[in-house]
Amino acid sequence: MSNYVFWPRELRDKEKRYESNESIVALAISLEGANTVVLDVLPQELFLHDINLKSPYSLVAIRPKGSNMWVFEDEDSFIIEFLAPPLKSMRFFSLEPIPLILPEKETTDENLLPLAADNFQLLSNHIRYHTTDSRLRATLRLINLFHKHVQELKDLYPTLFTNETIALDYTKVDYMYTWYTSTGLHRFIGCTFLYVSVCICQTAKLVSNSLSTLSIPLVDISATARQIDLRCQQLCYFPLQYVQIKNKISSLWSKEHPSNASEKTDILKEDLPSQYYPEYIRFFNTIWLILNDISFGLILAAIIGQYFDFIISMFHFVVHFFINNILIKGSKTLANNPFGVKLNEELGVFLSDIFLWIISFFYESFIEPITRENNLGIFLKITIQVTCCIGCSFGISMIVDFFSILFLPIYIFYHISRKLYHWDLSIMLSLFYLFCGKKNNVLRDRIDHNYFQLDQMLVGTVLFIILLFLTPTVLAFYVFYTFLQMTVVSVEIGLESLIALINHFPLFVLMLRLKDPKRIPGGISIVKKVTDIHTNEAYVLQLQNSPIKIGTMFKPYSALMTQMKINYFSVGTVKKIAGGLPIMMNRNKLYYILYSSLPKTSPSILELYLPLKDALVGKQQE
Amino acid sequence: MPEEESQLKKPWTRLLWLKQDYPDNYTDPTFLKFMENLRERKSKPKDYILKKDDYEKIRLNFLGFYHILLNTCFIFICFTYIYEYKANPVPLTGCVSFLLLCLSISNRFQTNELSALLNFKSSIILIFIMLTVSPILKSLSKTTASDSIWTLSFWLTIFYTFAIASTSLQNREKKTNEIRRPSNLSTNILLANVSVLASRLSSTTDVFCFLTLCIELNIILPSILKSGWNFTSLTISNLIVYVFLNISLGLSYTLLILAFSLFYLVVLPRWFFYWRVHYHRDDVEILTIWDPKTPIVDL
Amino acid sequence: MGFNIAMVCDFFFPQLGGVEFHIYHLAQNLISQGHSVVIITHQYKDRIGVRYLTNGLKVYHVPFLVMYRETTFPTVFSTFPILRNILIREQIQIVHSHGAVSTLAHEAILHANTMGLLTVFTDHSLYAFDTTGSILANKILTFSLTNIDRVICVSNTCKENIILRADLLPEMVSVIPNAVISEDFKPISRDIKLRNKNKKGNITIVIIGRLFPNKGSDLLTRLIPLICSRDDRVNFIIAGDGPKFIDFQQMIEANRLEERVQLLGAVPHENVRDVMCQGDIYLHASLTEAFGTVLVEAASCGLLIVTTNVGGIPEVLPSNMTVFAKETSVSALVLAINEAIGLFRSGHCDTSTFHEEIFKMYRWEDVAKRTVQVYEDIYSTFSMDEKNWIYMLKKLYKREGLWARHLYVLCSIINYMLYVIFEWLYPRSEIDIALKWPPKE
Repeated sequence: MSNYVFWPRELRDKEKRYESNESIVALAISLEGANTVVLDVLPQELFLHDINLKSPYSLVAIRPKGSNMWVFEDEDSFIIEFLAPPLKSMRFFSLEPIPLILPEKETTDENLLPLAADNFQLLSNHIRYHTTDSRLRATLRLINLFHKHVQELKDLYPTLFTNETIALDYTKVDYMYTWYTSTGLHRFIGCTFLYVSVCICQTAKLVSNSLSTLSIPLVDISATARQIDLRCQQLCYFPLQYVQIKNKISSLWSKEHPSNASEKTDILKEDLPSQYYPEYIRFFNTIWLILNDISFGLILAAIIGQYFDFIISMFHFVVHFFINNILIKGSKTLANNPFGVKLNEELGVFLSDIFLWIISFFYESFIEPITRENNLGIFLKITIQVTCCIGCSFGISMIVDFFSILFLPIYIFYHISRKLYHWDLSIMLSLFYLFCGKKNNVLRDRIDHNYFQLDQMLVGTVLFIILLFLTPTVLAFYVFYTFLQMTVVSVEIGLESLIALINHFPLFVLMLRLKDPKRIPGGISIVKKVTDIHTNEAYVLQLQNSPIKIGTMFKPYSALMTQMKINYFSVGTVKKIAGGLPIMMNRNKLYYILYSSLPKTSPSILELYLPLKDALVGKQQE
Repeated sequence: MPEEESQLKKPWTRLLWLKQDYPDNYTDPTFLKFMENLRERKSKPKDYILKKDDYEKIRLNFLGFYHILLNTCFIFICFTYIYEYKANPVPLTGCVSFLLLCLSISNRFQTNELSALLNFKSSIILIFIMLTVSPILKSLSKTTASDSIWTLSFWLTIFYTFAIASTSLQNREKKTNEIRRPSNLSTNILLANVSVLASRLSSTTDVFCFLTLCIELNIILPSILKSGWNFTSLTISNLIVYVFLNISLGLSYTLLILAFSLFYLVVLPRWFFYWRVHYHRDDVEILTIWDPKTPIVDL
Repeated sequence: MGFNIAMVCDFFFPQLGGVEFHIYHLAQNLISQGHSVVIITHQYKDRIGVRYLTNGLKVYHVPFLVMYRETTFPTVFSTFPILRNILIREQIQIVHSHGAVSTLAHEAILHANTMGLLTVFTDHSLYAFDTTGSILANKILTFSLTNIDRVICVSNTCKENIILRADLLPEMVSVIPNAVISEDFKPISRDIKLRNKNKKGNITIVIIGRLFPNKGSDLLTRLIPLICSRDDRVNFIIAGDGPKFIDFQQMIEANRLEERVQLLGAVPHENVRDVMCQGDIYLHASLTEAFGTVLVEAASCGLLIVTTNVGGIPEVLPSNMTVFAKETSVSALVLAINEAIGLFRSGHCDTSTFHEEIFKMYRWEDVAKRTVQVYEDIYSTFSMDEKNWIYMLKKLYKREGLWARHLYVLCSIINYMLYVIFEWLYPRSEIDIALKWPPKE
């Protein structure tokens, strides 16, 4: 097996600067379990003196005088070139696509296919299928911190780098920052921020808890409550995210070397970039989305404000048209031979009367009052205010809630007719068993053979015939209200998907994809590249970052769409409708996927306070 | 000579486990003979003669179907009696029920199963349930136009006839000793027919009586007359049907229908028999040796 | 130099059953005798494409539309392009189809004949003549077997059945029985068996098979309570699943036989031997059977066989291993069981030699040898005239049935036209030849 040596491409320029009559050597680091990575090229004469390179550092190759070729210590060595990611660019190499959702929420896919997951578990536990990429992983970890390692090397062997200026190029901002941290102003502002944010977090947490822990969780019923809950959870999570990003990333970026040795090895050993850069992306994605939401809100509010009167009259008209022309007329038609189909008159009239009574009750009690034009105006004004101040998503979710209150009668009708239909079907099924000489054994949950007497048969037959003749009537009502309910549900789903899009759109990631794809790695690829004709090697392998795929960015959405398809537009749904089973689903389950960038439980104030204080105010002992 | 004997091949036996000195595509000689016979029979089908018994069987089957048709007519006789003549159905129902009761009591001493079939308690329950559902049955298809009802009833009657014919003729062939009970499918079709027709009747009493009469005549009566039908019952049903036809349709129609029935009963079986003998190829029946055997539950 | 053989059937691994095992074992033994075998079947779920089994047995799982009970949708022509490609790629000389209900098998015979290849067909079951479905199946069988080179049946009864169904010449049909893997059906030693029993003279009767009406389940549900009430030292073990499973459950509950009748449900094939070895008598109440491999397996495990006398069963085992019921009735079966129990109790029945005897009677090596003999026969007597297109059409035209034979001829002509078109569109020279798996040294 040949030995792969990773060679930074920057060093290619550096080696060209050396005269060809000078022999140069490549200084490399080879940690245990990782491939050799070349850190620098230096003239050989530096090593003639008493410099004792200790492990893990070693000289792996030499370019003798007058030659263009590198001669390796190990004959089998093979070069893979890479571009070392600069410290502050937030670029890094990663074997897996960068996690845009929290790792703890990754399990949602398996819930969809429990059987496949079982087999998958068996396979993935099998030793033959275990990946043996730990070496590559360790190498990438090393490459990600390439510049840190170079710094480390320079610290250890300063004599090698005497002719290079290691001056720290402090900018003005840096100076400003050091000045600022030294004053009391810093403490004051920090403390203020600390207390304000802790207060906000505490309130948000309270609100979120109270919304989801009531006897009937409001979150499951109302879109507005869900929206508030989401925003509160985001608020609670912000400080924690900030603390993590600030501490780790700033220590990564700092030009000063940590005096403390253990901290140093910590940084060098762990793969901090791939741990904390995704956190950074998630943090800023959320902030961007909130800002975006508010700006959309301003636009929406402006539009609604402009067409205020028109919207109110239109809405008023639509609601009344719907109730009078569709609900009431539809129910009446069903009682009187719709489309020439002769239904059972008694049952038809009875059912349509019930529905008409319910409609008039609802109409009198709340539909009429809330759709009065001035009341509508008040509601719309409130919506505009909310939309302006805290975002478009809140406005839309208020509209969704308003709709669901308005369509409550349809929901009730749907359930009544569904239940009737379901009873009808199940009784007919058990009577059918009776005719086949079978019966349902409830205790053992199976269909038994049974001998029925003539009188039992006769009674069963009479009941069956009656139900058979009543079925078309029940079915007509059921079909009508199921259709209405499905329409209402589709409208609600449409609006809620819009809210989901506003809340969880991977905006920041998409921007990064355009600006700097290397910051969102979706894996690595090793490509064969033709080098310039001057060198003897015609080809060289290059380690490259392949950016994350668009599909992966929208993975929560595709999962959501699949869930919705399964719930509303699948063969299973048709079967449920045909069998008279409810097709509603738990909203919580549906939107769980979209909470993917938030932890399951929001952090408590105590675990938040101290780290936040350290981050904002500075460490206590200093 | 022993050597010569060993040179002669052992005769082939029809066993798979024995390794025999014959090629794999050797064919059983008895089967070759069988095939020869089969081919001969195919070439001259007229040699195949049906026995006298077979004609008797065909005639009985035709008669059985005729009887079923007569029984089905009772539904319409009852209906016409109540609907067309607006007669009070209560006395008739009472009479028929009383007759049935007498019959079943006289039978009770003979058969225990029958008494289980029609015991007092279940009869009462049945009657009460029918009383309860009669108003519902009356209203089930009230809004439908009369023409649709007649059409629907026509088709239901045809289905009913075939459903009941297929089961009762099969039962006779099996010669089972069980009490004949109409199949569930035919009972269902009968009741569907009754409830469709019931929507045309004027009062709940009429519906109840009509329903009771139909169930008694088409379901309970055939169960009591265990053998299916006999000469007396056949004569009585014939008499009732033709007298009623005469009253409702007039003599000429009755005679025409009578002629048809006689043609059906006398000429058609002979015709069918002739066809079986001369044109029907019966080789399929000989090949039943390879069919799955029927399980015989005899203990 | 061995033959290049393609076995075609809708039923193959991962589905398990009699036909599937037959194909697999036959193919393995042919390979070990130096022939090259590929298997062509349809896709099973995500099992699409080429798979290799033990000893380089190559399986083509072709993505065809599956209609009902794992048979492909009959389209007559749509399988032609890919089958032609596979047959050319693998340089097939003989196409060997299995199973009369497999549409893929029939279509493969048709296409192989059109391409002028040798064709062999193996039938595994008996069919009736009078039901609508079987009449249709017989017509299809008649069509595809008109130009077949040889038919193989598993028993003489099966052979006679197919001769009449497909109107074949008797010498066209060979009888080669199934076999069993003897090592998989070894009996356990008598001592262990006795130790497992509480009392001496206790008899356990084993029933294994799918619980279908045509497997005699109606007889069994009536018979088991009778036997149990008459002799309280007889117990039953029933393995298998099917639509009649509930009847068995109800029978056990109604007669309170929970302690004496074990209802195991479906048992995986590799555990069948363990179930068999728990018993002394194997009871088979089938109403129709072409061969009855399970009887051979049970006898190999050292069980005395009590069986109905239907289909090919009388040909399968010697009389010292079996007790026959005279007819398919409960009374006859009860008599036969009592006779078998009597034989056991009196010690007149020595089942210890059964395994050795069966080992000599039914071996897959023999089956493979006899099958190769069939291949060699047809290969040596083969002349190009027989696969001449006009000749085959004539044979089809001589078939019975006015409508049927015209349909046969029409299908055949269309297929030949398609063949010419394919030869022009996708010429033979452009199809790569597959490398053969290196034979074992």
